Amino acid sequence: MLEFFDPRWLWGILLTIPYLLWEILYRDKKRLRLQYNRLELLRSLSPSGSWLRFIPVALRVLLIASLFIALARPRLANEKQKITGNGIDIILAVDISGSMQAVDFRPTNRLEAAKKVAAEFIKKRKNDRIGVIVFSDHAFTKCPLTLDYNMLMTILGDIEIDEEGQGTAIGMGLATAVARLKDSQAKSKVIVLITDGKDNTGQIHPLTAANLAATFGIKVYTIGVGKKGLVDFPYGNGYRKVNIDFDIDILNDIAEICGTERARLARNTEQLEEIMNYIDEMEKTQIEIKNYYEYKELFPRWLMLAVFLLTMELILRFFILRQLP
Amino acid sequence: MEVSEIIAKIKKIEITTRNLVSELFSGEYHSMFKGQGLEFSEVREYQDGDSFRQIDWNVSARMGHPYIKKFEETRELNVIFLIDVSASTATGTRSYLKSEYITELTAVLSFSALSNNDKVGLLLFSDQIEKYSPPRKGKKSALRILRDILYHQPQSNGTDLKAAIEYAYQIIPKRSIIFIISDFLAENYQDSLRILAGRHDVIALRVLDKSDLELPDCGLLHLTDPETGKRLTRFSGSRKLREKFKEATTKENLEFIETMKKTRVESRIFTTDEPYTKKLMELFRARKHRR
Repeated sequence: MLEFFDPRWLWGILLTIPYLLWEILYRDKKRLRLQYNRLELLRSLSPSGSWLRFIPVALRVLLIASLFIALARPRLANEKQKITGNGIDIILAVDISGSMQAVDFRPTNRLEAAKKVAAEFIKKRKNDRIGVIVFSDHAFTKCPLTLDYNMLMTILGDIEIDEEGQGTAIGMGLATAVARLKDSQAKSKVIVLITDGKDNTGQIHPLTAANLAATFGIKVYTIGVGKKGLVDFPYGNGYRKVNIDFDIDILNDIAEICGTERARLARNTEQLEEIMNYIDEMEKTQIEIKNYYEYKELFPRWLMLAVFLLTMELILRFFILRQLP
Repeated sequence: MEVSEIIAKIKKIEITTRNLVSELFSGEYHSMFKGQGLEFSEVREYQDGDSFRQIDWNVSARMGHPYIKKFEETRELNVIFLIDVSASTATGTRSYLKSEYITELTAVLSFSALSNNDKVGLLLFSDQIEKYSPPRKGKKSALRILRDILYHQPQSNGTDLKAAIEYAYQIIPKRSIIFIISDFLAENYQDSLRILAGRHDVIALRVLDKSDLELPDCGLLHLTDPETGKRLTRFSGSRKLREKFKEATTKENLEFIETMKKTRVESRIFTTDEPYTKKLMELFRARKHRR
């Protein structure tokens, strides 16, 4: 952000106006002039005259302006935040199995809604390391714990439905998330598990994974998206009603084991947002944010410009555009 | 100018030009504007100081004493100077102002006329007739002319050569030699000049400054016209402009010479950075041959 240390100096640029007026109105009339008899001949040979005669004046005006700009001390202010205090570690475990395509979160499907809410959640966090894990019939670390929220956002945006996945392995997802968090030194370790289904594949049972998490002192918030029964599911160009298995009990169990009492259910985007806000509230971290500015001083380049203009003007005045008399 | 200054200047001009006149121009001028010839006036006794070449041997032999025969010029010429004192002559970029050059030129010519026993008159003009002194004889009158030129403060800035020529035509009845000394930066004078040349022996001497012919390469020129007061700023660093300018002035000079030839007026162009002696001699000689 460009700002001036002392913008009052900028008024000085207005001085160029009286200078110009003097140059145009007064000096042109009153200046010493060489008496010359062939004026009319010269006028007929060069009716308009050379634009070169305006250059010294223009240079002088620019010179004055740049000097005053330099005096006003322009600088680039770069806002920086210094954050102190220990953050917590959060893993977002997102279900990307085929069932997440169901569009009961109109106008988007479950996954897109989850992504959007997760992104907002990330924006609210500061100084917390966050990672992303996706799972369908197997689990995959999209992004390890990081403070680089920009990259996190990009990665989050890239998450897509795993079309080839066969089923949902909640246990696998949870276990992978635990693996990511187990060595963490953070005071608080949190997994946010977003899923819509029933654990129907994978080598680790969800409850086993939940016990693992509990062992490492990890809190697991489970969020079930969608509902039981028939939901719209994309089929060809349209939709058809599909019955999706939804196992809220297992989510409740996990939550109970991992100290968050019960699973949360989200049937639409608003509910999902509420839940995420709730988690955000629950996991407040004590941090101290100090804003400070880093300044990049720009006046040297204006001074340099002024010196350059002065040199140019002197060169012109003494060598090329000598003035007579 | 102070009177003393003017006197000093007249003295200086007189000395330098007198030398020129006695050394260089005496014979030339004489033969240039000679009258009809010499006419016998009287025979008188030889006195000390008379040239013995004037002794008439026939009379002397008869009388037993040396007698000399006196002749007089039959016709005294009127020489009138039409001198431009417009503001354009008060400029100069070399060691002389045009007006100074014109003054010297006039001095040389009037002293030459004086040595030939001619009457000299003066007409100063700008865009009006500034001063007229009718032709008179004697050394005094030559000095008076000088004084008039130096002392005169022009009333006006412009140039109206045509009016001056017409005025001269009206007030000079007797056939005279008329020198028009000007920068001829004027217009529409050709017809009047032709009429004047029909009655008188007119010689046009154009005096120009170098800057009237060439645009000096001086970067930005802030100019003003001394006659009209108009202002102009031009960049003289442009070679193209300077060349165009020189072309135009050269053409104008050629046209001047051409016009003068057509109107049967002898003409010479002087520039203030060249001495006038050589050109004047050459002018005198050319006229001698033409006669």
